Amino acid sequence: MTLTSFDYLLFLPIVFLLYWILFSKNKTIQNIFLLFVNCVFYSLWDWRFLALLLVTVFSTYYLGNSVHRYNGKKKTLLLIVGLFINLGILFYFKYYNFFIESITNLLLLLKINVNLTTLNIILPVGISFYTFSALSYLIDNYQNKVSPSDDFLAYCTYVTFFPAILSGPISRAQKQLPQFSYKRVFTYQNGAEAFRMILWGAFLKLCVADRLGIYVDTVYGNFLKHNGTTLFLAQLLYTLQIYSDFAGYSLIAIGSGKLFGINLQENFKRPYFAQTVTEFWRKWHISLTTWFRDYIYFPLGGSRVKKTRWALNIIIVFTISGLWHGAAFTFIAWGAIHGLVMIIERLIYGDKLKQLTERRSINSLFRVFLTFNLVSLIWIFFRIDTFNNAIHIIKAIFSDTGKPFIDIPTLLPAILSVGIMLSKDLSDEYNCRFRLLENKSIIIRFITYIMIICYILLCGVLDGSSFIYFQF
Amino acid sequence: MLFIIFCITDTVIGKSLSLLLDIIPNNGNDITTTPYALNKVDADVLIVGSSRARHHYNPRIISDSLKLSTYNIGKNGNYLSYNCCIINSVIERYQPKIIFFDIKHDWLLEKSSDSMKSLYPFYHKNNIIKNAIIDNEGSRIKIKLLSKLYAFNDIALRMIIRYLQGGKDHDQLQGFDPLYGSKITELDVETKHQSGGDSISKKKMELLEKTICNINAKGIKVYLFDSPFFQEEKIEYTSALDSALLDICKRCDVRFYDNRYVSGLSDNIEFFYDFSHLNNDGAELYTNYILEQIKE
Repeated sequence: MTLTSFDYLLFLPIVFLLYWILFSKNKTIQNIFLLFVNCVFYSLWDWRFLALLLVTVFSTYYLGNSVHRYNGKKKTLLLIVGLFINLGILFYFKYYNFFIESITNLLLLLKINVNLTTLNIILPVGISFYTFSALSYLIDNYQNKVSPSDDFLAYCTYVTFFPAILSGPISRAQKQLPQFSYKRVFTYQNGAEAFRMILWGAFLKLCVADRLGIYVDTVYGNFLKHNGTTLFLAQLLYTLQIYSDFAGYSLIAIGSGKLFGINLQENFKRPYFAQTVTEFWRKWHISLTTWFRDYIYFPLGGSRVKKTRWALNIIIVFTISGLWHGAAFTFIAWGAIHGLVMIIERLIYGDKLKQLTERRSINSLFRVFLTFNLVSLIWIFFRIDTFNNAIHIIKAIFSDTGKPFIDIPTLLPAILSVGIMLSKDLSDEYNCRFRLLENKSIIIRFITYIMIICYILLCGVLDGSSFIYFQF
Repeated sequence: MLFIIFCITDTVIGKSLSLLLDIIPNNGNDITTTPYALNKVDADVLIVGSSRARHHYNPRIISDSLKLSTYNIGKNGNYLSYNCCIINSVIERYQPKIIFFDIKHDWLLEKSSDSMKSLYPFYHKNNIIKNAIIDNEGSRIKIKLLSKLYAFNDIALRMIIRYLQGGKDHDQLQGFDPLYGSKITELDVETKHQSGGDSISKKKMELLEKTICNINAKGIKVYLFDSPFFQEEKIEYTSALDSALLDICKRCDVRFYDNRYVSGLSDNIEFFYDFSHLNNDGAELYTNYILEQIKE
């Protein structure tokens, strides 16, 4: 059941009503009900992996609480055990085959023939996300940023929380776990805000991302046949597709969480308005980048080290980030290139890098344009399956011009939807006073809701599609 | 309150779109194929099928040869369930003399695409269509189609554009949509079309058999064709799927012409727009070919 499926449209209101009408007496009853719903939701994907999820829950809870009681070597040992178990599970399911194939290819280069077998492994849905949410508890306890929780039920519910378990936002023990430790109360304002988020998220996913995806998939599915102009257009549209797909999903997840009184981490802040790639990463997949920042970048020394060490830290973090997204060298390349660009930005702008993004001018518009195109180009490595194919596409974009492949019935509704998305993002980015979704007048708000729902019904891709980030 | 306003809006816009669909001029565009077929077509010979029917069978040639009015109601991207439903609905309204049913062999496979989305706008107007949709897509579709707007998902914008484009309500080509030239290049490597692999759908077989029996019961002559693909050499089709199709035709006493490979046509790249579709030259040749076949 994806968050834009018809099943979810039936599932969510039923769960919402049951939760607030029958199961809201106290936090324990709320959590028991939510935990039950979480397990049912996850089981609908694949009940076999529920056990694996529970291993993560139990191990991180027990070790997270234990790690707090000790100091010195034993404390570190418990942390290592916890990381080993959970990252080990993640490694096995996600990276084992990639690791074996890479080792085999490397040995072949050295003219050593080794017969290592790959396994037929199914990737458990959401493993990259819930593992990180759970590890946040373990690591925060180690760093004494949180106190051990004596409420196992709340912890279980926190890790398995259904809106976020499949594709984030990645929850953090410091921010999200405490919310499960007290009774949630429904307010009309929260409900209305949640509804708006879910509605706008559904629009982004169904009307923008999935529409663009039809064209993008057609071109990328046969990219050798298309000229550079078409590939450039497809790359541009893919840039918008991946944003609207993931931002849309995140909004639906955050809105769904809000319906139950839980505030999940904001995940996107209009990243394509960033003036630098550095700023882009403060606005894109915020829950993941802050996780890497807090648990890898800062422990490595962050920016409070020599420049060369700092550059190395950036490359490490972004290479790992690339690898997190997928078990392939293209993802690693994607991450590493972003890291490299950030290093170059720091070299060019130095200490003025942060101040740069606080000002708005003609120059800032130019920087937004440049950053957008740079990020767009780098997305090619994310989309395509091999490094060679990515290079082929980039070469074609810069050398093989021609008439673009235009399919009006597909592109017209997509462009219209992009225009609507852009209008709202511009309005939000530049703090436009007049808002439609959040207008003070209930009539304008209702008209806007109705128009969006009608638009989704008429122009959304409603015959089922999965989120791009589901593959992670 | 919001829900009530939405229901009213949904009904009003839905009904408006339904009216719009009825008044868009039929000048050979894909949007008006279905309403025209359901409400207006009255030709003696009907050509039914997917895009392969639409692009492969020239009504003018058939009309000139058989001296019977001919119309091509083939529709792009619509397969077994859609076409069976269309046939059953049309012959309930009037009985053509002949039906040429172009059926692709893999329509009977379990996993082959078989959406009836093109018929959603007619769900509330036609019981045959309503029952067929529910039968094909399950009872959950009843809830989805409570929304009148949902029925027009994906076509509303195209309908509006077609309406604004205007034009005469007359299709000179009688539903035929010729393709010109060829998109096949040296990079393309797929030349063989194999049947089988996936399991055969018993439900689809029953649907096809029931439809053919219904046509026979109305005293209408029906010919089943599987039209040409581009392939460089003849392949013997002996899979379970091919046998299943032949069995249905035997039981219904209907002629099936397996024209996937036609010598001089299938192996000639000049007659193909792509691997699955003949261009205009190929369609002319093929239409004459099937006329010879049925005369035999």
